[in-house]
Amino acid sequence: MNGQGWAEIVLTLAVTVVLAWPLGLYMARVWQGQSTWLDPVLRPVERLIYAGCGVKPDKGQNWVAYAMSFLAFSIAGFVVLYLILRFQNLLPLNPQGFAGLSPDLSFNTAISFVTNTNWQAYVPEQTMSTFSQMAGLTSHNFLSASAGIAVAAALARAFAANRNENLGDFWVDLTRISLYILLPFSVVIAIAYVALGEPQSLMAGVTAHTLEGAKQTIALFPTASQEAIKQFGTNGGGVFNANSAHPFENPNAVTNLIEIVSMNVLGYACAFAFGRVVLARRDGRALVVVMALFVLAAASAIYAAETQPAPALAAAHADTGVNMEGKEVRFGAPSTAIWAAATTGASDGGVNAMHDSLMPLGGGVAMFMIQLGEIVPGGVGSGLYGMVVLALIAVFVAGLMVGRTPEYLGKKVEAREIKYAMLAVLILPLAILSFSAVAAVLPVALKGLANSGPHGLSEILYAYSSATGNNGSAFAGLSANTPWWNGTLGIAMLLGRFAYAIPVLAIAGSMAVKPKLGATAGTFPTDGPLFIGLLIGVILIMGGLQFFPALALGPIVEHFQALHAVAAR
Amino acid sequence: MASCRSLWIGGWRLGMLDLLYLAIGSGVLALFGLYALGLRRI
Repeated sequence: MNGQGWAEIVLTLAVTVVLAWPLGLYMARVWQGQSTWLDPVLRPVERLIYAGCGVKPDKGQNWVAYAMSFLAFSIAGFVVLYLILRFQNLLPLNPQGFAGLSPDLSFNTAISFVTNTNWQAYVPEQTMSTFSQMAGLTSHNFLSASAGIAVAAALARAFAANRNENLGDFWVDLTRISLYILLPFSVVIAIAYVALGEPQSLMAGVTAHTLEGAKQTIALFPTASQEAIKQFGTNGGGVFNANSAHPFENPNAVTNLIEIVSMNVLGYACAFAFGRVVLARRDGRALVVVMALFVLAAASAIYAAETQPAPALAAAHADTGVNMEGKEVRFGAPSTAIWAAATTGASDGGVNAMHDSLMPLGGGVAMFMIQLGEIVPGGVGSGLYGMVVLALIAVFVAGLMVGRTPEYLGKKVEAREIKYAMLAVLILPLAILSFSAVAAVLPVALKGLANSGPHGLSEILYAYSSATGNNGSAFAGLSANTPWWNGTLGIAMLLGRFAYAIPVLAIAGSMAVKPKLGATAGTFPTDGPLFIGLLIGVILIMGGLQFFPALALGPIVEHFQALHAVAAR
Repeated sequence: MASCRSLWIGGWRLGMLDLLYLAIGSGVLALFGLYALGLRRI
């Protein structure tokens, strides 16, 4: 550890939060249907889409209609993407001549991209045609991200509403968020990536002659454009198997910084936008503070862990100052640490180092960030609505302490909303721990593991945490392209996405019809340090209580084994 | 003849597997619709 490393972590986080503020203000305008500086170009396109799709933008939907639209859109997306992947050999733009994917892999991948997870049980450069990458996967990178942000926008409007069940229109939100937020920024970021050395090509690849005289095919894809929305939409699925550790996806320190910032900036911006829409800017900023503190703490813990002596390096009599196994030399430990915290806190899942090679506590912290519910700052949209759910639980706990009906942002929080909130948060331990418990004893699942003992359990736990949290990153060492893993991880992704979002929309529906109350002397302030501390406590206790026993059997026991191994030398 | 038969069976199984996976994915998503309707009763 050194001052430069700490400065890198703090500055990266600071740049992200500072850029999120103006982006959040702009996003609030998009959520509210207000004019933006892109209107002259995009408004005609928007109107054309509404006319072509028969959308009536002023009609609005209640929460059930909004949820049904979200589900219908997801079903259609799943079926179309499944067919594209399954029959990519019959479709154009397949210069590599790849075969169609197997049914179970098509199932897993289609769900993965529809749910904004981007878990990849395949080697992309050896599996996916250019058409599948562009028309299948990249398009869903936009649409699934827009759908998540749409739910957050509906929740914000619900808190702003006064006895009005109208949450807005899902199709309008989907269109506006894609057109005004994701597309223009992704274009700018993609051009920056091309300028910084990332390839953007429809060629299958180029052939190089190595110094030994062998021929080597170097795969090429429209990498820069995919990379832009991959991070900006917290998707995380790469066009290369090594993801952002690959020099084509992340060639240098500048692209690395842009990628870290872009994978978190929308998450923080959603919280700023929420505060703006609800007319409670300080409350929105309080959520941002909580998010940023978690990322800072996690990055610090991972950086500290990665600068402890690693047993394997000690055994090889190598330099044990930094655990460089699985890391890129051009990034080093600090960049890896802030990236790992940002990607696991954000449901992004892109990696610039192999998380399986992190020290046990480093990997454990990354896993814990996912298990907190992907709320710090979380996936685009999903991070905000997950955080608001926990904020409701926090004010409910505070209300119980003083015997007063809790309120949040001028809305009374009653039994119904807390039931919805608990249904949402309990889906995470239910899916993660149940699937992990079964996989830990089932031979068909264990066949895919490269490690046994605590590290093997960590691989299982990480896989189901990643899938349910819609993160998508993986501990290497798990061969997940089997019917068992493809099937169960697919179901876990669906549960993590929709069994969380549907109760959130129910909360929105319930809140929207309530009267908006003014603050009184007895109102618990939700914009100050006391609330920030309470919310952090609720998040930690919920995450700790639910997952600590499982973590104790995986990364924590492995940490003590590592200490013992180093001490024995 | 045997190879034609195995090809036909293979193709049939492939088609059934596709339908199965499509039904599981769409079915689970449709169940979330029923879940939403059920949540209204809370």
